[in-house]
Amino acid sequence: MSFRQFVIVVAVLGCLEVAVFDWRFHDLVYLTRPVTVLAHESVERFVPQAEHALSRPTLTRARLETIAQTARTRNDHGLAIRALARLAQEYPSDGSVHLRLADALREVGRIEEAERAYRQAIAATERGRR
Amino acid sequence: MNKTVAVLGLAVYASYLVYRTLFTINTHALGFSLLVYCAEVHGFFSLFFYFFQTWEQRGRVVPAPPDDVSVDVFITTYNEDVDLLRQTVRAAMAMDYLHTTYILDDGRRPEVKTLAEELGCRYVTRATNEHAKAGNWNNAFRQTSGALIATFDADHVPRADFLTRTLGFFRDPKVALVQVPQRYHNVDSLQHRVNWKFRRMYTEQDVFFNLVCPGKDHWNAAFFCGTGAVLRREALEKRGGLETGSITEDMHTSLVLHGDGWKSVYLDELLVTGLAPMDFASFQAQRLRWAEGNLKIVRSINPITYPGLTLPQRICYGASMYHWTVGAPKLIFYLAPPWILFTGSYPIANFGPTFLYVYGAFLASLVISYKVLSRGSGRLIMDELFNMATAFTLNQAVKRMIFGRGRPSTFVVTDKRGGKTRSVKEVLPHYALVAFSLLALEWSVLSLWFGVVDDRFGIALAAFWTVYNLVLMSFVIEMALRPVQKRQACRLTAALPVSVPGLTLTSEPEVGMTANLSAAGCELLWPRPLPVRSTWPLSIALGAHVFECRGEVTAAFRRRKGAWFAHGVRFVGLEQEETDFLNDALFNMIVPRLFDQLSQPSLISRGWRRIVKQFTTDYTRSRRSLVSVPVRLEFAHVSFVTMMHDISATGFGVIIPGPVPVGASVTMTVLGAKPWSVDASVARCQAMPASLPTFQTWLAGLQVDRTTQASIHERVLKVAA
Repeated sequence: MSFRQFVIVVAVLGCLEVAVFDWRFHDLVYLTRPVTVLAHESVERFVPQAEHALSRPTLTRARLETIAQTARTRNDHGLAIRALARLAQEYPSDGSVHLRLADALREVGRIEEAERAYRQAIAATERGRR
Repeated sequence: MNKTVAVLGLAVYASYLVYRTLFTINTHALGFSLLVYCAEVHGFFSLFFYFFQTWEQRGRVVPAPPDDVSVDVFITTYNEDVDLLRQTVRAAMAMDYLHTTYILDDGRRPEVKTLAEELGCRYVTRATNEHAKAGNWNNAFRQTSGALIATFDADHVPRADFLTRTLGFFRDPKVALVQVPQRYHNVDSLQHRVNWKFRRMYTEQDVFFNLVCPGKDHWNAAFFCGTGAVLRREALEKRGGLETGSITEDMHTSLVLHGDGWKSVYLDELLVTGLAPMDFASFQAQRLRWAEGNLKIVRSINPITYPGLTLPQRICYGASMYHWTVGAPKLIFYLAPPWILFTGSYPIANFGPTFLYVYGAFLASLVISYKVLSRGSGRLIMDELFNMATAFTLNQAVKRMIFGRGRPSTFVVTDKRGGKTRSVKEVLPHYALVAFSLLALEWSVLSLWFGVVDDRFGIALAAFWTVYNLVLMSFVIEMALRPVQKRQACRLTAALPVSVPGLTLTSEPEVGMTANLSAAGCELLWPRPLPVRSTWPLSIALGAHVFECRGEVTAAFRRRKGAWFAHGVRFVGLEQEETDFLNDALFNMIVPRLFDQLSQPSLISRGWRRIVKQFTTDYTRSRRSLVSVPVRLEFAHVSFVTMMHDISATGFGVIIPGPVPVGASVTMTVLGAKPWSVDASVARCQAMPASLPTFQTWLAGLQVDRTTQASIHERVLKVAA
């Protein structure tokens, strides 16, 4: 195999890899778009991608934030609460996440859960101060 | 100091392993984590064996050879070139000390028999090739009676003083073996790296022959390396010669001899030079044979349990075999970083800055202790490069040791005459590794970009190691795919003055020089371009001799070396005697000079010595740079053309064919397109290395008037090649 042939083979494999990546992480690729764009996407398009992303065992903070913010913009409180709850679970020391979760819960009338989330927000903030 | 550093280095490594065991085994990726951990444990034992073997270096004082001992010289051959064999046989026959030379031809070739008859040595052959080289050797062993047997491969040319330097050790009746290092004169081979500016040469086997062998000698565990050795018949008679149970009969035999209570000696002197493999395929074939042979010895003769060995000997032999298992841990280290990039799982739990600090300290101690114990010989990057080049081959050897290869192991003769094709097959695994690493890098970029992972620190670290391995791998691939060496004869770098009788330039005869030389041709540097396919009568000054022949210009290279035009020249119509003379000059004058020129200590050692000298001596010689310029010297009404060897702030070094008294006045004419002269005086005169008196030359240090030094320097450097 000459060097040139090798470069061609690697280039082809590289393209295939991009395709595999897109197939494997199509939801995360989709969620890379800005929140303002996602907010105007149709329900049939956005919700399944967000649901698929949330079903992953690991998800980066950036993607969770995207889902939460987009869902809130679209008034999809259920989805927003699930994303924020996951954020609060993975980043328990971040008071602002608990606060946003509490707000979202309060808006849909889940007062008891909202109160619990507010308390956690205060506790996390105090722990952060100490 | 060395021993303290060795102990500290091992202690740090052991502490690191304890830390790894207690805090960093990743249970979420247990298999991966344990694989990397095992590779690190393997590294600890490698380091222990290396430090044990280099614990102390044994320097040998050479005793005078015994007066009346019968010596046989065996030269084993199978399919090597007759021209190559001819020079080895001639050099062996020309060795000092009474001996009988035998050609052991396993190829049953009539031309080799004719060669033996022509040169007047004995010819031994046999009907079969049973047990390959060892069988061939044993066949001659049974037919001869010399008390001592010197043995050489077909390409290993001994110096005239080989026997007189080695036989003295046999005054001790318990010594069964004297081994000398294997050096290779084809310094453009795959395993050489030459830095002419700093006059340093790296060979892949430097660590083994410069450090490990003298270290093994300290423990009486130096072993037979197959060529460049003298063996005692009495020690081998019990078993009928060399051991035939493996394809590395040399180590196998040494182990048995040590078990029987015999002693071995390693003499670290340049007494024989051979040819290193020129292409990647031959290099890999050689390493596979060595690795497979050494590993398979364990099956028939285990150094841990074999009776009669001392504990250090057991460790040294164990180390020699263990060395060949390095392929698997290396492969783990090459695959781990791209695997991290692909999967995002780490072999280390708590992977963060704390681990990085610990690892950094561990790595620093490893590098420092290795450098100190290597005493200027080991070069980490180069050693790593060759580890990478051979990793897959060594794994193949381990696989063959464990599972067998389905048929008996065969002795593959290493091809030393350049590649026939580029070594693509042997480098395919490296290609695959490069592709895997590149795809892993791409995957990690995509993963970061699209938010699949967000651990930038871990990804960056894995990417750094991947890129580091990629760079090394690309050098390995370059090594394998470098242009195929087509020359049949090895060209040696040699600057020798060449003139064409009758051609004059202004008032001086036109003079050029060789850049390299073989018995078949040379690269000629000439002050003006010469037409291709033209033939010229050439006079080449070889010390006190002038070699005259006709040379055909086969190529005119575009590149220029300084003020010189480079040409490829083929010698035409050479008689056998003339070829023999050229070969004698090459091996007895050029080769010793080449090794002397390239034996400068490492930069660190030189720097340290310079600092020490500043405080301990009043006078230090100014730094010398090698230059190649033909000059004419006139001294006491004698005039001859020779070469300038070096230049320094205080004068010049000039090679002369005979000694000149210190203080003598000489006139030096620097030849080239525009010759010019300068008066100088001889400040020092010392013999240059040569292995035959007829090719002895001297290096004269010339001093010129201090007021003209600066301008002369500039003028010389303008015409230097």
